[in-house]
Amino acid sequence: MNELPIIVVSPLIAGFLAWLLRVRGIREIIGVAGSLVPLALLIKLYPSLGGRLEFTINVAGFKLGLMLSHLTWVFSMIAAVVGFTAILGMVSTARDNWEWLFALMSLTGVLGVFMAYDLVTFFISWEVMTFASFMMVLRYNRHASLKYFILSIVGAYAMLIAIGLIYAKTGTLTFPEVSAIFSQDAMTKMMGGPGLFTKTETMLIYGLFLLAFGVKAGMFPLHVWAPDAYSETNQSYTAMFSGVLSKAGVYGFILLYILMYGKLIVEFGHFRSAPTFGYIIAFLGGLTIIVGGILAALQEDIRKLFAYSSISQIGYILVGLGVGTALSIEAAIYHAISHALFKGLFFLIVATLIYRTGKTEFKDFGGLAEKMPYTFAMAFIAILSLAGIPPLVGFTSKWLIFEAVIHENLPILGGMVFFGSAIGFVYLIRFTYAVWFGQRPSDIENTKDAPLPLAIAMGILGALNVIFGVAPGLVAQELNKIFGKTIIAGNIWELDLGFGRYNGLLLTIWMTIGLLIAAIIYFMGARVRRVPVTDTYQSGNPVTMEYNLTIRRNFFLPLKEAMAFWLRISFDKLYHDIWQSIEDFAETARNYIYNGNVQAYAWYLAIILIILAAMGV
Amino acid sequence: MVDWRLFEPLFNWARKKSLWIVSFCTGCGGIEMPPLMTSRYDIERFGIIPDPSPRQYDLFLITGYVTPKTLKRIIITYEMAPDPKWVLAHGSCPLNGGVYWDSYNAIKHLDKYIPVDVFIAGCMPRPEAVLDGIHKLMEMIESGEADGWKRYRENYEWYRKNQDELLGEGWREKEARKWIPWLMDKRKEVKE
Repeated sequence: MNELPIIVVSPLIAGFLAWLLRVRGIREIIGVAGSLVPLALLIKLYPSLGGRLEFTINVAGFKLGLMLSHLTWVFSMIAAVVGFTAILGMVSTARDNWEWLFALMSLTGVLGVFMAYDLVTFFISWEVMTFASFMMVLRYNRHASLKYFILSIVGAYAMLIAIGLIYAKTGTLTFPEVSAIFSQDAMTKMMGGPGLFTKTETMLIYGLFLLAFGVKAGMFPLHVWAPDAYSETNQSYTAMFSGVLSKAGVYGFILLYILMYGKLIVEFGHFRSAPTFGYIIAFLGGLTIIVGGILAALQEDIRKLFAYSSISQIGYILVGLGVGTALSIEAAIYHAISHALFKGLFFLIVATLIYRTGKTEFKDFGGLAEKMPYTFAMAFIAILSLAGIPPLVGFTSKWLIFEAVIHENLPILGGMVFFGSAIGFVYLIRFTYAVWFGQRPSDIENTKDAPLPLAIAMGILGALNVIFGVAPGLVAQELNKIFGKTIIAGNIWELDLGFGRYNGLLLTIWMTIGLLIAAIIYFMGARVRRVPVTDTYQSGNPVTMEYNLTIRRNFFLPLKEAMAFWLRISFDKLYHDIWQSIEDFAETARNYIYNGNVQAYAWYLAIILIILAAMGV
Repeated sequence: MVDWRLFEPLFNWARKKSLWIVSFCTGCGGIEMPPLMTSRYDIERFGIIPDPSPRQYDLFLITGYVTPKTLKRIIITYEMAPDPKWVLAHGSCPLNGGVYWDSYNAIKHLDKYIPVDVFIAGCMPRPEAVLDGIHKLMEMIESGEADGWKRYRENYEWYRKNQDELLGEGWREKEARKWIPWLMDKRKEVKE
């Protein structure tokens, strides 16, 4: 018996205990402890990562395996850290023990996905994760949860078919063996021999995996569940939902690389400098960035804005993965880490705002920076990090993705990624302006700052955002170990790609010096006079607090008007129409086949008999 | 804070070299402002830039008659500017009411409500006259004579009394609230 199953199962056990014990106080302690165990054990196991860390158990004829390598450790740490902070946030925001059970269950699921050693464990954990997150959404909004569930199920069973295809041909399910068979197959194919998998079969498996992982990650045409599911649930949980559960899709794509990289390249070749199959992922990722970013800017609801923002940021990771060099994959994993850190922070901030004010729409917010200084400071870190302002982790990871894309000479992807960076600023301005600055509506005049558990959770994520930004080498050296060679050189403070360097510490020092100089100029100058928010220039007209001085609706109306044609094309509507026609078809089938006429049923029998007779039975 | 009194001459020199005008055109004199700033007379060579913001200007041109309704806006715009700020009243109307000396609706002495540093007579004054006034103002700034903003601070009670006498006490709130019932009614109409 070793630690691996404990890591995976402890949140689930804690969840069950928290569910059974309806005592307020004890429930919270058990829940938080359950999410703390994986974190502690993962840190404890870190020194022994080089060796074989495996665990296998035989259940119902399947060998279920768990394994911890550098790659899975990095992803599991994302899950453990962000999961822990999300659970900590839930101490304040959880409404009942239902949420404790399923939030912790989804943590188990996602840890299982990351640490799986074979496709069966992977699939089971995947389903546990999907089910638990579905249950989290179900209490808040039935429609959103069903949309999420059906799309996830379509993805999951696409994966099951792909796994079935692989098993039918190879007869094994563990990752190393499948991977070995695929690479051998690729070699055979290259030599001109008949491969184990034909081109069509490879394409089918690839397509099915793309569907499966694309749904979970929120890739462009499959992203429609995310805005509803992310917003219609406990927002502390969404920190994990968006920060970690979407990474399961990202990890799935990495798994695709591990399993059949060579085979896919041999079958489909290259497009420019990227493998064709990767370019498809990257291109869809680029579209995800653009679509997510623009839609995020047009949202009127704070939760929806961050849901689309989350989709947009996942697009970066997909671009990094798609480009397919070692550097770009490291950059993508780096961005997965930073996305989990800052988006987890964002959703905890949203949770705090909703917990304290009970409002979700931008039209009800304004001027909260004075009332919630701590939360605002955390939001400031998160904003700088997402927008990619240097001393924070978001800059490092985006910079790495830019460098990786430019280095491979992929101009269209480069354009998409840069556009995504710009649109990231755009929707963050919306958030900053509408929530923190401007005139405060009178009904949120007495808002208090964050409650302690949420404050601690935000503090952890905020500190990590800064630390990993100032010392990017901490992450980069960990990522190098995944590949077993130095891809991003440099020391703890500096990243050296060979064609570009980034020194986080030096940059922080220079920025601090710059800020000091600016502060000296500012404070030596004029007297500072505080004026009320109504002392503002409305073309010289006097105003009172009865006037709405802050733009709270349709902030980006010109953008909306410019994009009017494109916004009419809605995949949400398309899926809705498809689902509607399936329902109509079901109704039709019910009316015509089960028509209640006994003679009709007799005729069915007769027709079957005729068919059997025709077949010569 | 640092005591900057020693540097005051330097600052005054810098201030006079870079006067920014708030684009607040009152009355007929508004038509005289574009020629002042365009290629023929061109005050930009003196470092004067028209600017629409009340927080960034330091020269306020009152370019014609001032009605009580406009005076409210003028006072608000004047009070919003940070401290070294100067007012140049332009034409006869701000001086003594001009041709509107017997109007119920034009104020006769602008100097009673906000402090004016330089008056230019004429109806309308030629751009050369305005340039002359600005030149005079520059000299006064350098010598420290142009101290309207100081006078306004020191004699605020007096100015405030005059303003309230004319416009009625609490005129800001009253003026602002004037539109609210109207807006509310409009909103109701839209709803129906």
